[in-house]
Amino acid sequence: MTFPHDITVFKSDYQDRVPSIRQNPVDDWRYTTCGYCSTGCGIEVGVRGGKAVTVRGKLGHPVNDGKLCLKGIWEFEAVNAPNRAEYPMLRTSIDQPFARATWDEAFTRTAAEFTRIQQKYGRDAVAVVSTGQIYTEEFYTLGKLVRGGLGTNNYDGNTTLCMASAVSGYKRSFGADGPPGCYDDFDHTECLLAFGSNLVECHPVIYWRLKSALERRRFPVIVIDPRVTMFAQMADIHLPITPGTDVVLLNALAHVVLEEGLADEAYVAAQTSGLAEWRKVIEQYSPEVAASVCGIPAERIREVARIYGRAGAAMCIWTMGINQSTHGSDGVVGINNLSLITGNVGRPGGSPLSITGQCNAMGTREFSSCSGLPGYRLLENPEHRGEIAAFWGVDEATFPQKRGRAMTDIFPAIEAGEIKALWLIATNPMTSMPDTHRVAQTLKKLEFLAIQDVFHPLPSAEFAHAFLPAAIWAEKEGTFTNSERRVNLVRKVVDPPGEAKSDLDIFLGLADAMSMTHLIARTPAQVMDEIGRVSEGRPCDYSGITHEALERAGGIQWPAPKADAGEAPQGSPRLYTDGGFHHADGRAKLIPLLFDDDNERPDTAYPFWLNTGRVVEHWHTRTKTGRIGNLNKFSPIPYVEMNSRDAARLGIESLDFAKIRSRRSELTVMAQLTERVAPGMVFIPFHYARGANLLTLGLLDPHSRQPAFKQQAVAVEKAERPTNLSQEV
Amino acid sequence: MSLTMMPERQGAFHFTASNCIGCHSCEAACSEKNGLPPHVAWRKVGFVETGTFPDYRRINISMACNHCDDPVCLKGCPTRAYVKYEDTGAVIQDSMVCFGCQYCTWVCPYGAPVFDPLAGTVSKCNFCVDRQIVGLKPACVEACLGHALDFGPRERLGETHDQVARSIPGFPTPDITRPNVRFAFHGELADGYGRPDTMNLAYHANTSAGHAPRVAAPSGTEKQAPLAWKSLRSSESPLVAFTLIAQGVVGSFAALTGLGAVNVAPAPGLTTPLLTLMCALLGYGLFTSTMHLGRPRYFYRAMNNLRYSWVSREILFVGGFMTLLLACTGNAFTGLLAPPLSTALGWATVLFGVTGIYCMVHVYRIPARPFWDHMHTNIAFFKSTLLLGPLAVALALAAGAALSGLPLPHAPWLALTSIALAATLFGCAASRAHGQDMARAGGEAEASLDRLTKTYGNFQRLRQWMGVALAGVLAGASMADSTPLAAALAGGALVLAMAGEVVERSLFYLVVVPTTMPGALFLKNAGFEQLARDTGLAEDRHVGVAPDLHHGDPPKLPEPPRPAPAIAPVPEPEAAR
Repeated sequence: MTFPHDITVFKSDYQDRVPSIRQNPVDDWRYTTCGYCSTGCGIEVGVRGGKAVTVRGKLGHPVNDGKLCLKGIWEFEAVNAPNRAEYPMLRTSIDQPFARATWDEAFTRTAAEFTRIQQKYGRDAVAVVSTGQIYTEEFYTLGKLVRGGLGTNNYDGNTTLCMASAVSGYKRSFGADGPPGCYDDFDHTECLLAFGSNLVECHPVIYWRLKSALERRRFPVIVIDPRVTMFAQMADIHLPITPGTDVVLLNALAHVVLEEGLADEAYVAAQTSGLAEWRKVIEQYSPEVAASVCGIPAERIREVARIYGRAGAAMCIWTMGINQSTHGSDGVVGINNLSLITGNVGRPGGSPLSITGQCNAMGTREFSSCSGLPGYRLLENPEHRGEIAAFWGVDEATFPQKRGRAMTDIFPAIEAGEIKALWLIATNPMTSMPDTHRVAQTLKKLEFLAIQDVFHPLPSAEFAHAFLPAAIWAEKEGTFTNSERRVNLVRKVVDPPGEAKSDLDIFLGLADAMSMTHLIARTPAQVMDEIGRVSEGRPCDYSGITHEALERAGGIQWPAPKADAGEAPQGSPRLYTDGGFHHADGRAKLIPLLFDDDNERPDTAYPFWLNTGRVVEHWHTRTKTGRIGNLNKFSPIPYVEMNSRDAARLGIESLDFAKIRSRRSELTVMAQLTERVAPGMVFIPFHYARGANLLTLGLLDPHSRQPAFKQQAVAVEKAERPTNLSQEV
Repeated sequence: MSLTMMPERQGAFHFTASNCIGCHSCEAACSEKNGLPPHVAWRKVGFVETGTFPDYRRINISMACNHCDDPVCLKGCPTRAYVKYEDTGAVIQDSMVCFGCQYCTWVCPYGAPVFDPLAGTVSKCNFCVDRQIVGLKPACVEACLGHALDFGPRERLGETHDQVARSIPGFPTPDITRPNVRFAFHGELADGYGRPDTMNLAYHANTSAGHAPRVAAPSGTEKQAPLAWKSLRSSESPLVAFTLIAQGVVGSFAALTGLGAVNVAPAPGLTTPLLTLMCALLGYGLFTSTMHLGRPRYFYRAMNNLRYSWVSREILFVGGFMTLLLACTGNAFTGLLAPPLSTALGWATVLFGVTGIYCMVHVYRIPARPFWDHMHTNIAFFKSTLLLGPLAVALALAAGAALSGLPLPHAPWLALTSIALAATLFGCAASRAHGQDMARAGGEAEASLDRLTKTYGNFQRLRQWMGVALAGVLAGASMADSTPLAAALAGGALVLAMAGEVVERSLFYLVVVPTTMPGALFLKNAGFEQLARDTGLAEDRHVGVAPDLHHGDPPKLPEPPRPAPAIAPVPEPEAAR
């Protein structure tokens, strides 16, 4: 029986009828790495006639072995999605429509505006906010352009909205950023603690790795989450914690570990500092104290601490439930503390492993120079400044002597009139930042806003003066780094539409327009070579990495020092396997954490907790997934999950509409009644433009400057169905 | 009748419900491989839920076609678009053959065949036989991230799975089609599970066999359909017209033929126009039901499956009736055939017509639609035949008498009106009994009754009062002593009867609740689909709800109406400041 492209025969003997099954032949399969989340799945894109027509998971790939989540399965449609921006566009005022421009005009104008504003208001009056979506080569180039050329110290990535707390926590505990563990730890661990991670929806393929390990060998899985997510449901123990109180729980878990003698004293003595101070604080946080704050019975906390403390190797994973909090950095430090006292850092099956958000949030941390200088170097360190100035051939005085504003401080500085121009690269703050109305008012104050993105219309582009159309994933070549430090390759599969350029080429164009041509390497492979050299001997050592080696190996985990001639470069599955932390004394710090409850809490006027988060079918601000019907259809309009008993009290039925009010603004959304959320709490996915972030407050973490998206107070009432439900992307 | 297939290697899905995380990867892999548009999905994931926070539990259920041992889709399809293959046991539907009658979507208990109003055809899971023949599992199984979905030779699933249960809460009874899907659930099942969609059903543990559906507790406020004609309109309205016209015309023709046998006829010259009117009506009925197809141009495929399909048989006999009726009418005009032959032709026509109604009854005796699968359907269809036909002829008789001044033939008049009255009373009694049976049966049957008495309660009460009124008018008519009064009462009764029948038949289609798989908030939720259509959201192809096309309308949305970037013409180069 064969299956031709078309169907055909209709014979009287129906058994001979050839079933018509769609075949989707391709000319070529091209190796890439998924451009959605940070799992880092290997994907091959099928091309026919110069068009991406299908994808398949890369069999034998060390991350996903052929598996993909639904977003990955439809990823070729992100390339083919409607509303791709094909031409540069300019306007002098945001009241006018955009007019098509040439690249020359767009570069010249953007460069001229940056120069004008810097001359008039000072170097720092131009701010640059980038992303976790573009390639490491592009980040490195952008960093060079900003730090070595523009010289503004208002330069950050949108990773401040997602991973800044993990970065900050790792730096505070271990002396450098970088998740110590890897996915293979699931196959070695004897206990998994998952804090504020809905792995099932946010990282489905990592969940598949975990589930596969569990199918081979049972070990306890404990999920800490205020909602009964599918991951919580799949866990052996679920702790439905009161929002924003993780630090207290972490202290209490450590309290029990110390109290019951479950700590690895030899490890603590050899590898950590600060035990005495830390112990004093921990002693204040008994499970009984924690029970009253976290809403979890003390006995339950003891039980979990014993399971964790007694396990041979035990690991912690976490995501935004920890990071997006006023105690985000402290939460990460708390997880690190717990890991340190049980000796669970860098051992097989035992690590504090942050599950990263965006496909290349790691790349921006390593080489974009946002929060320092490339290769985890610090602006505050004169030696580092000297090294990079020499390497780039720029004047060391170009570099500020300390890190400037984070993204969440850049916006208030615009509001205050200190920043006059902004360059947004692959980020959409109108949807992603807290308090949308304030973001809109802020963006309106800019004298010049340049947006570099792949789609138009785009909510943030309403306020732009220049639109620079970029190539999307798979229309350009470069590398991503995933959650387990695996550097991996995306080959160019198809050409960008119209005149859209790769982000690297846009940076090159601007460098040319700003007379910085000499600074910049011209091709992704050349940039990678430079990254290899600049990172040699650094924690994130890329010196053994080339694009070809990445494709052969399915990615390489840094540090990956240069291999001997003829040898394949070896990656490093784990960090700190023999200690060797990056603080001056080579030890990790046990940092005491005092809890100060500073969130906006429900009160009589605003009696509900508002929690926000992701759903599996959408990616961040929906600019891609909202344009792919086969993903968007699973939740085409925003909705609120609310407890059925609250809904009954308010007279709200399923598919009715509810008006959610916060002290910032209000939002009318469809109601889903469920017992998955606690009474007195509502959950709204944050993906939608003019959605949940109209309501969020976004108090900042003092260390990481990451906003708390998940803890604020709202009021809920029944509302009429709005006349227009269509949802912008 | 059963298919005597003995697949050499019947494949089957295995679904470990307690492992499914609802990530939709199976669904995406299926839709991607088969190039499906957003509003069509062959594999779908819905869920049922139980418990209160934090002891809340959700069971996700991923379901496609189960390639049943007894493929009711194959048997029901009039075009023979379905084949069950002996080598794999796959039941495969060919959209190229399908003419879009959607009957398979009615008979399948799992919602496996999906109608695409834009394409005008049904399509469904093909078991990835192209992958099977090269030794691969179906794409959905390969994509599963939760270790929930598996596939293998049915008889060997027990070797790789510790449980091979035949059902799971939310899954319709496997007795209807003997589906090739087996289930496992690790952990304890709760006593009751609710659905997240607007289907008013919950699943409760039975003492005997797993969980059975029951009507969920009333949600509080009742949303009643307003008493207006538009509430009765649906995509099945052409079938309301077709079935009622066919039944009325067969009844009328049988009554005329019966009168002929006792040498009674409406006034001279009235028979021919009556026959012509019947031809016209039935012609319209056949036309409108044909236009109700997704692809009317392939109407001639309707009789491809006489071996199995009651739809094919219905078309054969109703079509045959139409042909013979035309012949009778022609004969009435020309008088070509003399009495013995014309009488024989007449009775042959009646035989075809009555057989046609009998086939029509069987078309609706669908196990997956328990509200229809009841003797009540037989009674209702023959009641309509015996009410509308004799009443129409009685009116003709009285009108003819009044026009011609001849006396009203008493015995035939009494016979015709009595038959109509008996049909009305019997119909009322049968409806009552049907309601009681439905309440007792529970599940989808009870849910249909719930819709009938609550959502369409206004109409149901109206219908009952119309029945009482009709019985009164008919009783009066049967005893009428003057011809004009008889004619007036017969006319009134016919109008009342037709209105009542339209209401009743419309409700028949509107309230039926098929056995279905549970949906989710947006997906497979009839409530959301309605909302999307009412608000125009469905016009956006990315929302994944097929716009509500009236049958026969040309597809109007080939491409999504999305705004293009606002780009003005290239301006003169602007000097850099």
